[in-house]
Order: sequence, then structure tokens, then C-alpha cells
Amino acid sequence: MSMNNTGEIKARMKSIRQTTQIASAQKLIAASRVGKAQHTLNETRPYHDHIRQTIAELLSLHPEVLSPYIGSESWRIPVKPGLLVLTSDSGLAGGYNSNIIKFAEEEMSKDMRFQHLMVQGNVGHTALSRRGYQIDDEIELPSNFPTLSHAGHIAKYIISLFESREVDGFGIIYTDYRSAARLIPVHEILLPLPPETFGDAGIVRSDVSFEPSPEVVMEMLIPKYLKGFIYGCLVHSWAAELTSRISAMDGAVRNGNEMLDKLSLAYNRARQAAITQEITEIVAGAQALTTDD
Amino acid sequence: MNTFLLRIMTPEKSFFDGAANEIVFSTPEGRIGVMAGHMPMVTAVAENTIEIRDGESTEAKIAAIGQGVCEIFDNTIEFYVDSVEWAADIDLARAREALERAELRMRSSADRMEYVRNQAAISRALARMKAANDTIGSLPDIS
Repeated sequence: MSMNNTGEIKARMKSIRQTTQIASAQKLIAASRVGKAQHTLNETRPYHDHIRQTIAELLSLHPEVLSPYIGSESWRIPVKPGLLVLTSDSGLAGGYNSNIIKFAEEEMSKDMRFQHLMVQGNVGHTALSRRGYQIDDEIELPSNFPTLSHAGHIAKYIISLFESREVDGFGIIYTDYRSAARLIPVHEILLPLPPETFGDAGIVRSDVSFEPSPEVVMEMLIPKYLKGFIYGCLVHSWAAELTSRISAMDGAVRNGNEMLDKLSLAYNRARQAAITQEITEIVAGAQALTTDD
Repeated sequence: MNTFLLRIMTPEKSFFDGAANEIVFSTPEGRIGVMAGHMPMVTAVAENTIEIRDGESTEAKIAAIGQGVCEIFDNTIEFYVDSVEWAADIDLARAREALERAELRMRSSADRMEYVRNQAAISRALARMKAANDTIGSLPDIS
């Protein structure tokens, strides 16, 4: 039994100590990033809230504006929808990736007509392509440090797919960060936008004119709204990934320390046993010499 | 001279928040000037330069401005745009390089998505170059 060999126990302790250190470093890195992710999202929120407000105002003043990007009363179910799934590039994040991948598969099994699947993050990409899903790799989708310009690229690409009629609807599956303990996978519609997204415009400034036309202003606003919305999804997913990593690594560090405690007890016992044995051998040897006399 | 409150916002920051008495910028249909007391209006903003006169000096302050919307209400003008940058802060050499790179990519790539992205890069580089050039005199018209 290896537990009796002090050298082996020592080697094992060393390796566990190193693993624990890695886990604890991962946890610290994630913890320092999660606050920043939330902060940048909050900073951009007023801008995007205002864009949404202007769209709401435009829609309530000009209900006749038919934007292809906004769902109409005669809501029709997309015939060939697309989907973007947000997972992470790196593992060691507890159940974060497996939860969102499972949820995405459930959603897709409800609707087999998906034409276009896009996946952010290596983990989800590998898992879903192994299960036989065709994935569109046209644009790069890194999961770390989401930026607005990256969200803008995604929005433009999705709009171009929609305009060229490769898809007639688009959804996004991401992890909603409600609190550190509540990370909920959700499926939201990006295109065509449900009209109720914009809700009540509140007090409408009725004597306003839209130049050159409500349609042109709308065309300018929709990509900005989508960009802001996608950015929100990216940041939520990132914060959820980091939070999952913090609690997973916290557990790993705790388990590691528990194992180190047990091993150091075993190590001390083995050391003591070795010393006792040595003493016994010396005493027995000395006795053998004296009885020979 | 009457003034109005001018705010220029990007998602990252509030770029300008103060009094002005005349601004000139581009819409998809051409350049327009706005002074105090303008009627309520929401207009699309095209990527180009914006000239701001605040009455303190006759010289207009010039910035390169990205796409977005401009909302005029109650003598307050608010811009919600992708990006904005004072002409003085623009590195002309870098803008030229960006333009050359985008033009080269545009010629060599047949990809639709690339095309859209390059087009955006080109118009941004041109707007920045124009803004930077304006302050030193020459004025290539791109609108």
C-alpha cells in the first residue's frame, strides 16, 4: 500500500498542492473579471435604453412603418430560422457549458428546421459538431472579453443573413445572469423583433418629424438596437461563465485542502511508523549482540 | 446669439455636454445646419464630420462622427452615434493606412460579409481623414 511510503505521499501532496494553487488562481482571475464585465454593461445601458425608447416612439407615431426586422400582427412562424448559441472557450467552469448545450439541444429538437447554427466558444462548438450539427463558421466568435464592436459584427452578419433570405428568423441562446446563484439558460428572438419588445413608448413627443423618413431612421436604429441587445447577451454569458468558474474552483480548492489534510496525517503516521521500525531494528540488533556474549 | 444644449453620446462615453449655437453635420440626404429654436426632429446621421460653433470663437470645432441618430427637442440636441473623435486627436497617417488596407481587401475579396465590413472601414477612414484635414485647410468632399 502506497500510503505507507513517505516518499510517495510527499509526491502526491506536492501535485495536489500545485493543482489547488492553479484552481485558486483561476478563481481569483475570474473574480476580478466578473465585476468589470458587469460594470461595462451598466455603462452602455443608458445609450441602448435610449435607442429602444426612440424605436418605441417611432413605432407609436408611425405604426404604418413596415420594417422587415419587426414582427407584424400577422405573426408567422419562421420557416428557416437561425440560432446563435453562446458557450465558452475554456472549460473549468462547472456546469456552465453543459447546461447551456443541453438547453440548446432541447430547443433545437423542438424545431428541426434550423438552417443556420452559429456557436460561440470552443466547448460548445466541439460538443455540438460532434453530435452532428452543421455549424456556420463564417465569423469568429471568441467568448472572452466581449466588446461592443464584436457584438456589432455579429449583428451585421445576422442582418445580412436575414436580408439575403438565408434565414427568415434568428434566435439567440445564452445564459442569463440573474444573480450569482441563478444562472438561467434562455432563448430570445433577435429577428424579426417581437413588437412588444419595445413596449409602451410612455410620453410621446407627438410633433416630431423623422428625417429623411421614418423608414430611414428605423433602418439606422434597428442594427444599433440589435448590437446593444447582443452585447448584453455576450456580457451576461461571460459573467455567468466567470461566476460558474468561481464556484467550481472554490469547490476544487476546498476538496484539495481536505485531501492535503488527510494526506499530511497519513504522511506523519508513515513517518512515525518508519522511525519506530528503525528503532526496533536497532534495539533488536543490539540485543542480539549482547546475548551472543 | 441664442444657444442650445448639445450632447453627443457613444455607447462608451459622453463625448460632449454643453452649450453651442450652431452645428453642421451630415444626414443620408446631405449636410444640414441646426441653430437654436429648431423644430422637434429625429434624423439619421451619416458618417462624416460635425462642425460645432459655440460663440466663443469664430472657428468651428471639428470632429469625425460615426453613424447614428440626432434628436432635437426643446432646444436640446442629442446625438446617439457609434463613435466620435476630435479632429485634433486623429492620427492622419493611421487613417490613411486604414483606408489603403480596406481598399486592398475590398479588391481582393469576393466575400459579401467582408465587403460590408470593408465598406464601413473605408467610410470611417474617409470621415476621419476629412475631419483631420479640415483643420489644416484642404477639404476633400466625401458626402
